[in-house]
Amino acid sequence: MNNLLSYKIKFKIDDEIDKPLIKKTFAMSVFLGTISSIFSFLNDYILAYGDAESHLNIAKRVVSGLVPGLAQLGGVWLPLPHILLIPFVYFDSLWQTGLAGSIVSGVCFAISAIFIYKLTFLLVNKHSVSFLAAVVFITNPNILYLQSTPMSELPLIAFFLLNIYFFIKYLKKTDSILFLVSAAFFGFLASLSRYDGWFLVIIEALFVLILNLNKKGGLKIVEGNFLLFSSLAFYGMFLWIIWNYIIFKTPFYFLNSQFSAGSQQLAWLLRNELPAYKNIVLSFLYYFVTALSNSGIIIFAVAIMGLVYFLINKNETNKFFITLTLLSPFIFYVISLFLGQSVIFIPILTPESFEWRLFNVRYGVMMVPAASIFFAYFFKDLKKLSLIFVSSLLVFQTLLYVFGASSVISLADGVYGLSAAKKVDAEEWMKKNYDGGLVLLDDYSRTLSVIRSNIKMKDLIYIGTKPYWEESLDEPEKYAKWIVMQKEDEVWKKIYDRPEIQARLYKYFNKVYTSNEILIFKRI
Amino acid sequence: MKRKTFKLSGISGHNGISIIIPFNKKIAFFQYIKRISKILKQKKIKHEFLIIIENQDKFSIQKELPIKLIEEKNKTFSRYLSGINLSKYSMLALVDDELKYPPEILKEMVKKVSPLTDAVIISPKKIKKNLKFNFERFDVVLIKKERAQKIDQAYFESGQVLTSFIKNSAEFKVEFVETFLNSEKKQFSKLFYFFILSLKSKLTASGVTPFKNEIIKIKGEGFFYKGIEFISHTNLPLDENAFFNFSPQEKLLFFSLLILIFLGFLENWKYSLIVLIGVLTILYFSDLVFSLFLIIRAFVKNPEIRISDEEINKIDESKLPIYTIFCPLYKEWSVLSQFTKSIEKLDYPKEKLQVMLLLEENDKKTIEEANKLNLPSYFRILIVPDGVPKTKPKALNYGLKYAKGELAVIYDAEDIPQRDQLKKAFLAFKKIDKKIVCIQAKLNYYNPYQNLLTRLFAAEYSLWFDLILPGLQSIDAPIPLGGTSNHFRMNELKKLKGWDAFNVTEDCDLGIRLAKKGYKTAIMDSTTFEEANSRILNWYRQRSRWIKGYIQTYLVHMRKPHEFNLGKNINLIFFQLVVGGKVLSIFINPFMWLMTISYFLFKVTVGPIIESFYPPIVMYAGVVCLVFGNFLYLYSYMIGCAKRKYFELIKYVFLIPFYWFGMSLAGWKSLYEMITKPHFWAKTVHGFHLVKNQKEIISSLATNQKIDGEKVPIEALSG
Repeated sequence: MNNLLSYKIKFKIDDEIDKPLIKKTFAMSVFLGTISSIFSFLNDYILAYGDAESHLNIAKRVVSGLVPGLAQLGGVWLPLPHILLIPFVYFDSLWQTGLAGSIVSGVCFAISAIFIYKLTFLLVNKHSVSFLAAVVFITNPNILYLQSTPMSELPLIAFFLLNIYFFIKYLKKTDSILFLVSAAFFGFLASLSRYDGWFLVIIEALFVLILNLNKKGGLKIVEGNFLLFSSLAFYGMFLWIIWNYIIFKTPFYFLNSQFSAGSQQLAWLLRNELPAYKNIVLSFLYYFVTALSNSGIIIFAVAIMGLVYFLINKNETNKFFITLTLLSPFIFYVISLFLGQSVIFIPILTPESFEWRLFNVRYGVMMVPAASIFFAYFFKDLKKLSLIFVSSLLVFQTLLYVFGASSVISLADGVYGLSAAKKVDAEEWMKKNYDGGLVLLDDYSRTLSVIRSNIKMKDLIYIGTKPYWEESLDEPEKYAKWIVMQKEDEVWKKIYDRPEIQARLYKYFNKVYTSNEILIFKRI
Repeated sequence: MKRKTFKLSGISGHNGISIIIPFNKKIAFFQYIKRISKILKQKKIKHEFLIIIENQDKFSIQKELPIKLIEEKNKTFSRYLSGINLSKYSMLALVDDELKYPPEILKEMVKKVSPLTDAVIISPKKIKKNLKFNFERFDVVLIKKERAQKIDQAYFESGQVLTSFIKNSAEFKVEFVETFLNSEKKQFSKLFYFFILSLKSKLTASGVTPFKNEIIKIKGEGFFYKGIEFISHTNLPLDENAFFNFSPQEKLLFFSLLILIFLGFLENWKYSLIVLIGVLTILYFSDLVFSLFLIIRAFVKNPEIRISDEEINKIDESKLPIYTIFCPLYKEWSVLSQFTKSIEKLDYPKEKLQVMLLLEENDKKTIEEANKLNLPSYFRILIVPDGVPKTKPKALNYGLKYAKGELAVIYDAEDIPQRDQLKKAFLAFKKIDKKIVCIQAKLNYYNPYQNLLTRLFAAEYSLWFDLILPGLQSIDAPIPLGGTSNHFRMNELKKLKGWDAFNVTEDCDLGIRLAKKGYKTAIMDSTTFEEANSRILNWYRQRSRWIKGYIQTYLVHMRKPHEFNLGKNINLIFFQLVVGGKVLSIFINPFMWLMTISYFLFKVTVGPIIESFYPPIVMYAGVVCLVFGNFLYLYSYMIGCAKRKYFELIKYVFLIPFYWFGMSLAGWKSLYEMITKPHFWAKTVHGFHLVKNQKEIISSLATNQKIDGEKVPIEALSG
């Protein structure tokens, strides 16, 4: 057997890795991630974001509900984070506590930490500096908070880093099919996690084109490499468009539907509260400040210096491509703010006249990996990394968080920003009085939390449970034992606002709960 | 030695029975007459067989039986007359060549014979009208010779006419045998009994008579079957070759399975269909996972044997062994000169080369052209004697007898191996485990850009040889060898008994056989360039032969699945996936595609019906296969092309589904051929690329330059 092995040239991705430090990175990420998740669990922060429960519910509906199946993945949010949640939300306890999300995001967090290390090592070739980058990432409180939630940022960051790691390896060795295909594969996964991933793979495909233009072999090499990368990297986008067409009969449902980001931003525009729209300076500023707030001001400042150092370093190759790839989320968000496809409210920039001044700031965490890497890069040429200096910078940044000079802004948005889940008394009421039976509810309007109301997913009639949903809006008594409606939500409009159906409602149901916004009916 | 004599008994008044029977090529013919003989011996009745044949040349006499052959070109019923006249006993048994009745019927008929009896025929009296068996026919008739000779020749028009005449003639004292016709129930039980007897006979009797040593010395190893001589030049046992498609056990299993499916559909067609679709989906899913696994392994393990130039330069040529090169040719004179040039270019001491051009005796043109070529002394032309089968493996077996090399390799006539391939193989064999007895060099094409077909073909080869085979090697799985550039340790090759002359993909078979014997195959990083099939019909013929060969290989090696244990237990599963699964998917694919297309085109009408056949889990597995499986298969061709640096071919991979469709069509042809002509070797015509640019290719061999701005891979020429 030894003879047999002697001729095998083992492919070792990890030849360059200092295993003890990798293990420390992993152990540290698992330890801090777990602590953070326990903290979030104890403080009820896991489901602080309104979106957090929605992510869990989407996954839960695939395996439990009146009409379970993959179609429940919907057509607006990309499906991969929900698919990753499915094995865990299958268990009611993990679904209701949100710990299913903590597990998925936590694993992604550990993977991200390791690949921050490895990626930095590709650039600096020093274990201590690579470890520093990982430490900066792992100790970032915004990241630590989001890794305890079911939000889709951490899965994206993990795939983003895996993709960039292999892409940089490819940049360094452009005849490696393995690196190109691996980058394409993780790009494919990123593109199925968040739309940021789409931008990432598109610019990388362009880089592949440009990179190969100088190669011997002419356009055939360019064409071949481009097709090899893009066929896989773009396949996620292709599938999503096909999926939208099959499920919703329109290929760009995710872009144009009433539930799309674009449609939602239109509402802000009508209220004249979309400040960055068609304003490139404000778009830049909004995302810059958001990224800075998520990274920590000291880290971010040093990272900018690190970036400048990287760009002026004559020994670095492929600086342009590496920088643009790492900063692709920045470019993506600036463009989408400019086009009105997304909105961020952050207190420093958002006018006080606005109803809400904290919204979607978590988008800034996408720059934490780049900030961690460039922060560490700044110290790469120090003959001996000054532990005291670097530690004091990190400690100082931590103190800013601890004493509130810097808020953990992504957590703050979930707790009191517009992203926070709305908690209504009706939930408490339902929790006490709900005694089983099907519940008709416009889940998209988030009238009340299914989890906090203690309603089983299989007892819910919502827009994704055709034909129960449509039939119940015309004959409310047909399936539902309970009807929950909120002013201006679909149930209200289709039942309460239509006199003939309202009459039917009162014939078969008693109104058992009334508040300014919400009415609850129970069948007689 | 005391001669055994028979006492007359039960048939007094007669000195014995002459059984007159036309020869039938059925497998059980000799078993049939042996059983007649056995019955008559038990009854102590002297007997002889007068077998009417058409061509004595193709008939081997079973010496243990009292047989006389009567050559009769007349195919009508009157051929029995010759037998009647030549018979030596006073009682005749005229037996129909259809062998519809079991031999035991004769025992019943003999019982009816008395000195006064003129004839005994099978009685149709008690046949129920609703039974559709036609007993008003000639099947077996016992008749006195003297009476038979007096019957007007006109009554020998047909069996029915003769039977009817005997039965109705007042001059004949006729006895009837009412065997198994007494009651409907009994009739069925008898019929069933005879059916089982007949089936058993067919299942157990091979009807094959191996050559005796004297014949082997003259003609080589082989056997007689149905009077026909088959020469394979190997003593590979019958159950290890593809002469018979199915073994008796396989037949039984196959028919049982068919019956089971049929009964399932009768009982509950919908449920059965769901189960069937479920099973197929699981198989597809397994194949998908396995393919993905192989591709990853090929990348991560990178198991090909690599030999550096430095190692080659260090070789002491005086220590190189004799290397035998087999090159079987059939009607390929057009590429002969190209081949000889590429062999001359090989970097190996010529005095240590033994190049055998294996030509078929009836291929006069190639023999003539080869003789004209003024070949170097290390070339030897071997003429393979004409005979059945006429296949490449048979020629190779013939060549093996004359091989004197320590190592051996097979090249096809149109091959251009890399110059240093033999030295690389020599070093590789030196380095590796002795269990590795075969090293497969990679194959690819020197005309990949000739047309669309060659582009897709080259993409397929790149996937197979650059990803799948290295992947298989990395897990020590059985490797279906490619048709050429298999390098062997000669001793082990001889121990393996060479190639199966009846298998039309003898390479694949040998790869599996050696794995079963506990040997291994490795892949070497050296390429032999071949000519990609550039014409659709030619490709279609070649592909159907390959698929047929894969089916043969599957059936041969599933006869003794336990033998995979000699290698590794899991090899049996790998074999299912690599050989069985690939073949099965070729047949199933068209139905799956049709179902998918119908689903999306006619979703409103057909959609719900199709959905009803897919329980959720099967549906998800099916969707994964559809969405990711098809993409993975397609993308793996792209990776193969990129690995082979055929970047320009990558865009053509999007057309691969059409190529798959062509493979399925070829698959169905192969299935038809499996039944009609299993050993037929659909010869692939080579040399189409030479029509256009023969001069360029030949000259490039000398100069290592590109051809016509196109891409004959430079490494093909330089090694």
